[in-house]
Amino acid sequence: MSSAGRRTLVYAIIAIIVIAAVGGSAYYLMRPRKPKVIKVGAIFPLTGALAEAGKLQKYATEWAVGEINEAGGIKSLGGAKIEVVWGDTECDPSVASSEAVRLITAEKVVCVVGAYMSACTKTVSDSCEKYKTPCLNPLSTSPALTMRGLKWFFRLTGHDALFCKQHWDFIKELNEEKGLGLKTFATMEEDTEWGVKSGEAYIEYGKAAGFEHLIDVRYHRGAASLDSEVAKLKEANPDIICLTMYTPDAILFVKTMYKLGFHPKIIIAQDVGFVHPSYKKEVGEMGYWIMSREVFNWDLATVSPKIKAKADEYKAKYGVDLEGCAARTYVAWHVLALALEEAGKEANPWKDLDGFRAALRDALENLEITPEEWADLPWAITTYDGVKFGGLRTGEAGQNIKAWGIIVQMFDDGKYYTVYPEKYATKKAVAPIPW
Amino acid sequence: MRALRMIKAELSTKAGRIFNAAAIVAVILPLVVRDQFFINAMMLVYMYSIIALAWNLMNGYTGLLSFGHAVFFGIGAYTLMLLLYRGVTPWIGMLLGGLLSAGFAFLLGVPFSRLRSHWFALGTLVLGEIFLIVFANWRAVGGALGLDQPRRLLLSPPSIYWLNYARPTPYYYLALGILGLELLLLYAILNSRPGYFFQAIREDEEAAMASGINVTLYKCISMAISGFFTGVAGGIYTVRFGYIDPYAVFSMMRISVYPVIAGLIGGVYSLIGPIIGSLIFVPTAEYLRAIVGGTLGSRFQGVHFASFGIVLLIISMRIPEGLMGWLEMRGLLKPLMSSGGGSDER
Amino acid sequence: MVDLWLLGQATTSGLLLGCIYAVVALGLSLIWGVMEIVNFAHGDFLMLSMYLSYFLFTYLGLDPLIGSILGFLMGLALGLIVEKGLIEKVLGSPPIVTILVTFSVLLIIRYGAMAAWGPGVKTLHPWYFMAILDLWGVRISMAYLIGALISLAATIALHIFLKKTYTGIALRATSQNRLAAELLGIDARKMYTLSFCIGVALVGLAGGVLSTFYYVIPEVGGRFCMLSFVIVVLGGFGSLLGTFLGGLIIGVAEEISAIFIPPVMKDVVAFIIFLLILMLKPSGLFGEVAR
Repeated sequence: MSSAGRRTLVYAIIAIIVIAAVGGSAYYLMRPRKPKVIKVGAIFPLTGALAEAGKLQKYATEWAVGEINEAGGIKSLGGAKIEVVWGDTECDPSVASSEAVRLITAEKVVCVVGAYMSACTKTVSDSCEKYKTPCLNPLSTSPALTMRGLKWFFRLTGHDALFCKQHWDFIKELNEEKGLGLKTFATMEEDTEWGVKSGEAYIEYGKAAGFEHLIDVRYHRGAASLDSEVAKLKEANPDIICLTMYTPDAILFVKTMYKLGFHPKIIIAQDVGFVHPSYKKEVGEMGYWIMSREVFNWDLATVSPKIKAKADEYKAKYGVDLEGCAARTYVAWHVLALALEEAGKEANPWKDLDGFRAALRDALENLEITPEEWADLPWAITTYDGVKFGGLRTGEAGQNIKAWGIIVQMFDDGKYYTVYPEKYATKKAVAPIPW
Repeated sequence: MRALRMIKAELSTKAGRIFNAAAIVAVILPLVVRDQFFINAMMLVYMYSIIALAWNLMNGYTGLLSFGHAVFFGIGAYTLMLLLYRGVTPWIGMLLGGLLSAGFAFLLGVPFSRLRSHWFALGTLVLGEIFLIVFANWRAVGGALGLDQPRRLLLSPPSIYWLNYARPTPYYYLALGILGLELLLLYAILNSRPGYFFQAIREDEEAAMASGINVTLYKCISMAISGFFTGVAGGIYTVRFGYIDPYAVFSMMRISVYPVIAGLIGGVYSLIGPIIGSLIFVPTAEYLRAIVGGTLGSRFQGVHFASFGIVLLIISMRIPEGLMGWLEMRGLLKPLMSSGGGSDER
Repeated sequence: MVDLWLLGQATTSGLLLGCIYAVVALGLSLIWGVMEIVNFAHGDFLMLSMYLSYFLFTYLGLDPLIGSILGFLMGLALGLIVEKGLIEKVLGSPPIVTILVTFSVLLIIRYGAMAAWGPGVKTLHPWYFMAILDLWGVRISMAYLIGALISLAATIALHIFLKKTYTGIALRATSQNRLAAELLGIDARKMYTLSFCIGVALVGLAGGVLSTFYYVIPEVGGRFCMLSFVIVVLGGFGSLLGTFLGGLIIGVAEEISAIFIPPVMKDVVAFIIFLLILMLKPSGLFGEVAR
């Protein structure tokens, strides 16, 4: 091709690219709009290390929103349906932040539900605060999130410090009831924000309950071996061990504990790794008698008919058992629906998005569900005592101060049974562990 | 100055005219496009371009392949945040972050300069991991909890002094501005004595030494300059996102590897190559994640990473000289400040 | 003062674990030594082999040690495909290209596995994991012992192969000086293919061993790949004995350091050893002088 011809070709290609870009953008901007829906953003870890949990949160969201929409949507807004707009945190806080920005500004959601990993929730809630959009968090348990005095952030689940306090209340009770004479404890956690904070809370409340803290072992997530870590624990010989781990490390830990012959009298864990379906499936007899915090357990269905009904429904739809992530996410969407109803009475999202977001925020702040009301609501399947968010002037701004958890223990049939609090317990806790 | 004359000369070539047009578009883009996600994505493109350019100074021009640029990025990020706590404006924080990174990079060069390609790459890779673990367990700088921006900044009205805006647009211009500065500076440096020395080192280290070039010194200088800009990029990240933690800023996948991929796609033998690479790669990554992450089932979660792998494979096997290199070889375009490519018979 | 038991337990675990790390690194050492390329996807071949063991155990009841052998064969096949299909084509290119090719293979394998089998954790419990040997309070899992023995056997087998068989000697000749080897009639390309295949086969063997006590997730390759790099550099490229000893040193260093410093830092210890070796003696403890 001649030099002139080549130049023309290059210009032609550039021209085509420009025209395509312009045309594409024009189409995008002018595409036909769909009927009126209320867009709500959902930011979860759909990929990355925590994707398993993200999958369950996705199920729960689809389930809850399906129910809400089928029951007639948000009536105060003319029966408008909720449309979920998805965002993926990729388990990275900056990605989560970008996603939040996208959902708020491009997709114009009225509110954001999410995230899971506390570090991601931090940046998502920061973005929401800057853009004055309510952020409802169903799952993150880092205490730090509600200590920042944010106006637009609401967390429905309990946080680790609250749960740790519950753990120690339980252990103290158990110790006295059974005359176990337990005195010492050790902690082991991963070196992430969640791990560190949980470990600190364990230590603080453990000491407050009168126990002596012997040693804290911190490990790097995904370690190739935990031999020395567990050997250190065995050496210190604590009566109680408090664990904060994700699933792979939980499995490795349990195997190592067995291998090295580390036999504490009580093992208690901070949920997550120890209650994950993969863990339960794979751990076998090495997981017996380990206790964990939970926010939901299958045997709640034997105690409460409405939980049974919902658990069966979930299992039929999605093929997995209902557990804490899904249950809390499901409940969060229903709580949001209540708030949307209230907000819909004051403002209109399609005419004044900012006004509606503010109204939604107020609705969440003023929302209150008493324990009695909670017991009656068919979708209230978590063990909270209702809903009430701490006010801005309290130390727990945006925290649902009624969000309690339960303690479960794995019995020798490989299943977790609820052992605390009494009103939900199906079995009495076994302690010390019968090695 | 000679450099200015050369710049004028470069800009009147075909590539130069395209560059001019692109620069003008970049400047007026936020005024025309309102989509914040898009502006945010472009800001990230510029931020990654800054890193990629800096990285390529070491790789394409001095022959030092680094897989650990996250180290410089993280140092810059932490410096800015820690100074912010002491009430220092992020403008100074960014500068000091860059200088600290540069200083560290320079010192690193002393022992690292004797390492050749694979060993240098592995050494930097491992260094990145060390920094991650150390920072994740160093209480004094926040440890695993990371560092939040000071709360009053989050809640106070936006200002240029504190760079605490809600929308991405100001950060867009910040990143663009710094990118422009970096381009000018790198252009000037590469056309001066140190620049020629860098390329001499890349071509044949022994010959360079034999000609009297102090190889170690110039490698250190190259690393220092590279570290400086990467550290500044870390600062941009910090002011934009307001929260840093070791897993994010010392991330191997996100910070160290991204510029490598961008450089490869765009072409490492020109100044513009890494920018073009970032332009192609970063929006693709962002949008792919938005589409794939949201729609496909949970089994297919990693699909977009797998597709990066396929794309990367094809490019590294078919067009290892990158887009700019390919265009140059076809005679379609001579990129700005092309270094003529290296013949790497090592 | 530190309990003698603790030290003894750590040292024993470290030595056994080190043997197993060594067999994981063996393949990398071979490929690096002969072809001078760094196989970033090394850990992900390991991961594939671990999944193979898991499936064989769970669905067919096959012992993971048999899984190792099948993993070895799978490694041969995979190595052949990857080498002939990809690596061979980029052998003459600058290092960044081969690095990126193996890195893309990493991405494809790792995230393809995640898409295929989901991100959930899987483990298997062979009977000999549960069997514990107790020596004066120091507890050793049979799985570790068997793994270490296999590792030793593999190293010795490789050593004999390289020193005593004609093909092995040809491999070593190619690694020392390609030009001279070709002049002597050795087909260098065949040698490259062979070394890559054996390298991946070895890591396939290692996968079966690891699966007896470690968990299986798509990302499992990452940590072991890093450790392998460290071990190979420590031991010296070109030296099998070096790699084996390197594995032992790293295993022991990690476990013992975890006693004295916060265990999170034990990887840092391994990495610092790596950097020191890089700076002070890049050819490693036993390596030939770098060309």
